[in-house]
Amino acid sequence: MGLVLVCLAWGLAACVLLAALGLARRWRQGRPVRVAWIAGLAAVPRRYLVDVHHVVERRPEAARMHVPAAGGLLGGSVALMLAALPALRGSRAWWAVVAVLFAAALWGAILVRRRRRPAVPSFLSAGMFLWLPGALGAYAGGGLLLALGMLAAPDGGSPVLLAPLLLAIGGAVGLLVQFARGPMRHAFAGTVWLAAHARPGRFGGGRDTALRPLDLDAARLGAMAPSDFAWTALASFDACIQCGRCEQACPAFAAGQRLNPKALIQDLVAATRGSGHSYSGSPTPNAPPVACRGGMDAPIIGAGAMIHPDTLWACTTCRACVEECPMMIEHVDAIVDLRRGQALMLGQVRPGAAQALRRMRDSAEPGGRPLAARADGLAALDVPVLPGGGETDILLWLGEGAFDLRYGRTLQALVRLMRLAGLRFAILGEAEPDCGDLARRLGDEATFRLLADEAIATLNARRFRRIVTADPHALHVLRNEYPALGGHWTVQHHTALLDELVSSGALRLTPRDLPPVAYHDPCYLGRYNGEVEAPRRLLDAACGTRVEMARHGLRAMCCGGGGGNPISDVDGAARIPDLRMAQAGAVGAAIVAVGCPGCTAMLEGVPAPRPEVRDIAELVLDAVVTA
Amino acid sequence: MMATALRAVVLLSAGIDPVSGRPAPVGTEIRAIGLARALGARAIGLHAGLPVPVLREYAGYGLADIVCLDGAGADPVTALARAILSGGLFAEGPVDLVLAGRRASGGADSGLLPYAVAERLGWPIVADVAAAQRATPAGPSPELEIEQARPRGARRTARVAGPCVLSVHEVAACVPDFVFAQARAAVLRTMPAGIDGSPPLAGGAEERAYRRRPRLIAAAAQASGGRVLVDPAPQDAARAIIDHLRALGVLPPPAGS
Amino acid sequence: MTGRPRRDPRAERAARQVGLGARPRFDLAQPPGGLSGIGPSGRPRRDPRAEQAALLVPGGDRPRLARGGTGGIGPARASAPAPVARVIRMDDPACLVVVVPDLPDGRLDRLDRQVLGAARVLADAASGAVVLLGGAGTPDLMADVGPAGADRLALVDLASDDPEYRAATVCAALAALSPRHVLFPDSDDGADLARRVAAHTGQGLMTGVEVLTARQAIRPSRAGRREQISAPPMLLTLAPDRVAPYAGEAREGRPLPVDAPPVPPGAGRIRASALRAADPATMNLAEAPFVVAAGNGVTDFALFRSVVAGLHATPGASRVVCDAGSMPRAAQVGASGTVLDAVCYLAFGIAGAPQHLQGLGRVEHVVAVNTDLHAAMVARAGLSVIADAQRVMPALRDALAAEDG
Repeated sequence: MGLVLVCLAWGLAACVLLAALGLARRWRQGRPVRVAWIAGLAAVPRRYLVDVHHVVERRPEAARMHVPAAGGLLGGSVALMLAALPALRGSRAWWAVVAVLFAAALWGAILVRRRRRPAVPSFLSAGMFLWLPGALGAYAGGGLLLALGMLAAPDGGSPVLLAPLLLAIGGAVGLLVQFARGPMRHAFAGTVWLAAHARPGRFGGGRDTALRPLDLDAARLGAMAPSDFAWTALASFDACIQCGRCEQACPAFAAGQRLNPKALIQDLVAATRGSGHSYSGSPTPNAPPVACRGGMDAPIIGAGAMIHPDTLWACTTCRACVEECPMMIEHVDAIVDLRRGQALMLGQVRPGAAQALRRMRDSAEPGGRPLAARADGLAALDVPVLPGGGETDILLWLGEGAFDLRYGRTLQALVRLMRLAGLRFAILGEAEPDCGDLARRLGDEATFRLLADEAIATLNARRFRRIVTADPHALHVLRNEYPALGGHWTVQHHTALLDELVSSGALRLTPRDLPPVAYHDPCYLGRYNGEVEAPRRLLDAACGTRVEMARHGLRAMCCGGGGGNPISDVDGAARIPDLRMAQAGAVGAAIVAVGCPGCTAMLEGVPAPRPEVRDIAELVLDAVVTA
Repeated sequence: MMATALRAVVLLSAGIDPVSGRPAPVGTEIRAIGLARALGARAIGLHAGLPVPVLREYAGYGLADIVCLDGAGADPVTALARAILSGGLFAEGPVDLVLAGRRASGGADSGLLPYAVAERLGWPIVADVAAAQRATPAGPSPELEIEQARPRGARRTARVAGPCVLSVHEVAACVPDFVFAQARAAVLRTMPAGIDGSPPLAGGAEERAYRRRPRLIAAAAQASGGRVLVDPAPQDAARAIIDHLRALGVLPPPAGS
Repeated sequence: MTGRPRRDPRAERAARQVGLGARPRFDLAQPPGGLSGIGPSGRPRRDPRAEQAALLVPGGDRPRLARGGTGGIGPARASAPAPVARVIRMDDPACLVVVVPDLPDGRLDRLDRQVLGAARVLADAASGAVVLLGGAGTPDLMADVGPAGADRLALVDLASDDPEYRAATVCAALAALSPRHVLFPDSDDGADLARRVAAHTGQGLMTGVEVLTARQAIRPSRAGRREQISAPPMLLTLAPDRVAPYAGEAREGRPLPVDAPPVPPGAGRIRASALRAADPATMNLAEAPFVVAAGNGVTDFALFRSVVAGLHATPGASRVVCDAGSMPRAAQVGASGTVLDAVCYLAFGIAGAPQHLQGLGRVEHVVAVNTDLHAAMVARAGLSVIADAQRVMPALRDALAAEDG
């Protein structure tokens, strides 16, 4: 009987291996990419136990479930397989080990079951998940009984054990189905994805967030069909365990904007499988029906395919889903790949976006405004313009927000503060083109490159110690995305500069008595660049009344202004900035401090009554001691 | 019966963007490409001059084939008319339709060129086209039904038969999508224009930077000095608004007066 | 010290400024300091105010000029000159300057009158006569052309639906008249006719002339970034609101027979139908002359739509309203929606976020109904009603309904 059990474990392992090979064969239809396998595989344990665990433990019950369930299942099965050795098979102690491990797995199965009983939470999927605890419990329970039987009679053979054996076999078959066609494949796909991750820099606390340059001479640009994705991306889609953390974090989903990142990943999985769909989580809100037709080389986007185009343009590229994903899936990369295919190969972008892209191509400015007007808001302050070949300490990159009168006040405050601190700085004036952020997020890499090349040439023709900008989107592009195209400078957000000036004593602040102030983290400063401390230090120095919204720092909610969402005119049930302002109101904030022209515009667009919106530079200027 | 596809030539100019002064396609010419597509026509771009990068951008809006007439500078009208009549543009037959923007943006911008080409071709020209469709599904000389744009959203329908020239208006809704893959794949062919002589010297008109000058304004514009009614009775507010709109001439007088 | 009166160009310019705001505008038709009569140089000075007064339309509590140009029926004012008694005759002109007006509805419109004013400038410098070409079958015109500045009226029928036939008629008349200059309005139809004539005759044409004196004409070129300057050419079209209409003493407007061979009816290659006005309710927002928009202060959209219909306006909306799905996305006014080219914009309950105000680019008149006296929209408006839009709209609807009986 012991041997039968051992054979069962080996058989299960063999079948799992076969199923894994099937998965791998499907992934190989994706675009080949170079993977550092040895380093990647060597890093997997650390990535699992540190980086993945760090995310999983945000829901402690999920972490507690995995230890007995995954540990017991794997440990018990491996222990059984080792019992192929006669020495171990004859050892009571070994069977005791097997029994303990299967008991743990059984406990795990109970914990798995508890997650969806009595009711399935909205963020979790049903479907095959509903009988996963049954299969796991049967396998573990059968295994436990058999191990106990072997413990009682090591020479085995009692026909009483036939029932647990059948139970274990049934459970094993169930687990096999869960692995080959169900959520359990996340164990294998997740391991492969963690080893071959597209952004290894994210592990160990790094923030690798820059979009990768696209080879504009390639035959196919971006992703139109599943086979256009890198094969590692296809593996990452299979790694999704549908835990729904992304959908809970997604601002577009919260506003009912036809995007559910979890459903999106499952749609991509379904597209690799052909037609039909077995997804049973919460759907994409308000999404028009699609034909659910797929295939490795079939189009993904379209009413007649798998994903409705509205879904694509609802994304604000805020990376909240990525931040929450325990499998470290790169949703934003996938969306931008799909957008690249739509924009570059088909020209299918929203009318508002098409107009902005055309203006960026033709006048280097998404609003079609004259570049010379960018510095109009600073005219009274007479900021010097750095000519080609010129030299200064700090180059102030104004960004698109400078055209807006409201944001002009922020820039004026910043310039006044820099003057007070005695800094030597200049602007580019008419020579500053748009940095191309909007084009890149919309997937129009060609227009981005046009602008990036011009911006890099302009900056490389001037000498300065560092670039300071009040626009986190420009900061991200200049700091993280231009290096791949030949632009390497020190780039600083204005809050980092002001923080430096305050801590060095160049600016002295007296905290003012303000009503409660909540800081809204811009996605491109917080999640994209990990800068969440400097703005808070500044606020604490400028006012003593800082309050914190429930979602803040690296897990803050987006204002809705990124990724071309506002100009793509995505319909929804609510507006993202309204939701965010309500969150600020909920913690009693009377002032929302911001550090981004996009957030300023979006949050100021919320109808009154609402908290006042002030840039940190404005609040610091109000608190500065001049003497 | 399946309609035979029209053979259309879209006249392309090396435009500049009015705001930035950078090379850019002209909006009306982009719409001309869109109109050719809306008519289901096979379209070729025709440019009187050497290939310039901005032509690729036109290609992105839906032209796979662009012909540049080298040496056309001396007499672009003759060069364009000759190329259109030469029969060398389409293998399948003569040109049915010439589409142009109503006015270039980057040259003299007189809007005269489509008329001059039409005159040289001996074809009728309909200007300011907002939309067009084929009135007859097939036949050797297709008849088109054209919506001509007029101020304040007004429209006039015109029918024109036979090979013709259309100049497209800014309000035409047929803006095609820009596809980068099309732009990079398009073929830019250069053909000799067959025009002798060098470009005419820029005599006649002197040129200088544009100076913005104030326009005459309607007297009603200065009349309104920002009147503010604070918390009036709704009926008084309604009366004030109606009177104000009447004074501006945007609201017609009441019926029966 | 020369004793000559010194001009202060800044003060003169300031005196001509009309309206405040980001873009100061200057009314060049207005004399600096409002002087009239004999100027410092001793030459007789025009009194554009009096000229404007002649265009005044009665009624209303604020002065209004007849925009269609059919005015001249205004009540005599103390400052207005006595009714014109004398008619200036031009018996032996040295040359002819022809004007081919649009004559919408058979009358001179505002631009037609400006073109006549421009023609006067050219004719006066060369002791020439201004000939108005066209107008056959428009009896109202006879009395109107003399005061508008025409010495002659060459009655030619240009009312054909076939633009090629009209162009041929003009070409034949011009061949008979041999004018020195021919001026067209730079309207859609006027420019079309001018270009047909230029293409047919091979004469030089300057389109969209913005500055016209006897010595030079200036027009924008190269996407409006440069301008061309040359002597006034044979053919030109005049851009709107660039040259003041003629406001001197009435000219004769005497009929001038045109000795042109009859133009055979054309091949009829182009058959145009009559102009159709747009339906304001459904027309393209970017072209609409009068837009009424709803913002956050509007909650009853059925009421809003009935008010818009009563005003014969085109409906618009703020971003908030479109995001909420209360109005279609196509109705959105603003930087990310439609930028308007309207004459008038009536905003119900719109505070006026910067993004929204960018959509009012070229709108001349704004009316705001808003509860907030300090809203940006109120600052932009010519008439502001500080009240709840939801209370003003029913009153407006009822008032309009009462008028219609």
